[in-house]
Amino acid sequence: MLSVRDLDFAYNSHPILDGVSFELCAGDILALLGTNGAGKSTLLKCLNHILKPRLGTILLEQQELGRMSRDAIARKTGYVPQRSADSHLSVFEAVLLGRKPHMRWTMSARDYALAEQIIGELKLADVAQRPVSDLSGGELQKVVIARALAQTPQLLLLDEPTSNLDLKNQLEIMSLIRGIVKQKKLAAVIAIHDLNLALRFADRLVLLKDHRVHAAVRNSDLTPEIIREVYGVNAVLVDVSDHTVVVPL
Amino acid sequence: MSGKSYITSDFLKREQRKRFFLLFLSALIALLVLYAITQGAYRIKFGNLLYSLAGLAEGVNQVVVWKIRLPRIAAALSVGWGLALSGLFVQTLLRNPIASPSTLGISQGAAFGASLAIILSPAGLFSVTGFAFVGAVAATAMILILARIKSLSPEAVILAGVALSSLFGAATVFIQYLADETRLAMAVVWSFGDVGRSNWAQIGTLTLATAAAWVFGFAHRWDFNALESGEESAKGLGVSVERLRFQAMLIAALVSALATAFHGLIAFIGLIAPHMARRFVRADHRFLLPVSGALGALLLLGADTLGRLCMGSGAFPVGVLTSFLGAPLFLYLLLRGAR
Repeated sequence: MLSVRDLDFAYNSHPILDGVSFELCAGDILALLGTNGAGKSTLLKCLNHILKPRLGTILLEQQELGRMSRDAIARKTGYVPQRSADSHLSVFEAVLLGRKPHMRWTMSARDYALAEQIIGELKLADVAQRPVSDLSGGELQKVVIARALAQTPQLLLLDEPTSNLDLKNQLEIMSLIRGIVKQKKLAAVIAIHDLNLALRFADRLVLLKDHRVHAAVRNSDLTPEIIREVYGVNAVLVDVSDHTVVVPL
Repeated sequence: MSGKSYITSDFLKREQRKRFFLLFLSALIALLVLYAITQGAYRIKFGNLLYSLAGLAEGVNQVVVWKIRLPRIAAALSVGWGLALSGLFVQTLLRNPIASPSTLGISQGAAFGASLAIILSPAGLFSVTGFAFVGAVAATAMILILARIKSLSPEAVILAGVALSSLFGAATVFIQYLADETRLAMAVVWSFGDVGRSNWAQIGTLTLATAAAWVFGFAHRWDFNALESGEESAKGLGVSVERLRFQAMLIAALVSALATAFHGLIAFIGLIAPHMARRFVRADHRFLLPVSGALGALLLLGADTLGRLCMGSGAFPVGVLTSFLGAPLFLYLLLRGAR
């Protein structure tokens, strides 16, 4: 589904990513982990060519991203940025924007129907005509996810989707993402700080350190040693009612 | 599902309302045009007006309608439309509500060019309009080149515009300081924005440029909407943000350079018309574009007609009035919006 090989990225000869490689299958969620500045957001932006990697290839369903137009990439990848602007578009207009890469000259009945269906699925129908700027943090994040889904992508890229949310909304958004990925057989890459959310909702973990992939493991294979090597923190992994949690010491 | 298609039909109903509003604005403009033709120092009866417009009348009526009033009205509509679109482009592309052709130094560049031609050239040797245009384009070029080679952020572009405005302002004052009284007066009078000084060829040029800007805006209406949700979101939706920003700023700058070169400094229309439009139709550029343009045309023609009625003659510069009326109106909108 997604295959990343030897990706290099540098800002003004300052290396950010160095030989990053990993694979991801449809229906799987990959959590990108690492310290602040490890290059998680940069890697995410390389995956839809918002940033152009210096070297390396990204294959999405056997197609090389570098040979695709911006619109073609936007038809295959839905991107949820870390910060979304406080726009005055209505929720429906904002979600409809997700159809833009598919649009020819104007929105079709199918575009409207899809936007409406996704708004229903994400339980945003009650606020559909409200301006996005009036929404709460959790609702806003749902709108951005809905917009990404309206792109009918095969790959979802989410940059810190839970960073501004309370505990309830964090769980709600993450299980929403997981539900959608499993149901629609998408692949998702989530840059995230919270190890516990990653362990609970992702299938695979990629941990970045010093611009490189330090470890790529299934979430059941995370060990205290990896955590110590990446974060420099001693921690234990504890099982609590079916969930594995990381407890820093 | 019971909610299905309810949201879409509600959305389409709202769209319909916006279309009616646009129709209402167009009707208002048409009425104002008719009113503006008949009113002034020389009044024209409505019955005679139709004759004149059809080219059947002779004498004073014909001259007043075709040589004085219609060019003035056409210029007001065209400048209002053009400045409003330029303002909207710049505000959307730089994602900043205070951006406008004058905050980017374009107007000051034009004023500097005009002063240069009026004051430093032997009488009539250099075209004031040409120099004003070159000044405006020079300011624009500086901004765009800075933005392009240094990949400046939108905020930095605006700050660079403020710096350039101040630079061109200082240069203008310096040349004016060197001028004799007559030429100083001419330069100052040039800077008063006035829609009564252009000829049909100039009005046609400006209208064509504005129409081109409108077509560009219309073709990119959904890209503009995508930018409304932030730069990264727009990129994720397939918009080449840097290229769009460069093209749209260039077009906006050319339109306002033409408007300013032909008519002098007309403040506030480019700032206030898009803001008013946002109050009425919110952020959807499919409607913001035509509504901003229509409001700009309506505001400028309204201000010019008001100026003519109050001052009795056609010589009152509308730029003064737009600033006088624009500032309080703008403050009112801001305070009402802030609640």
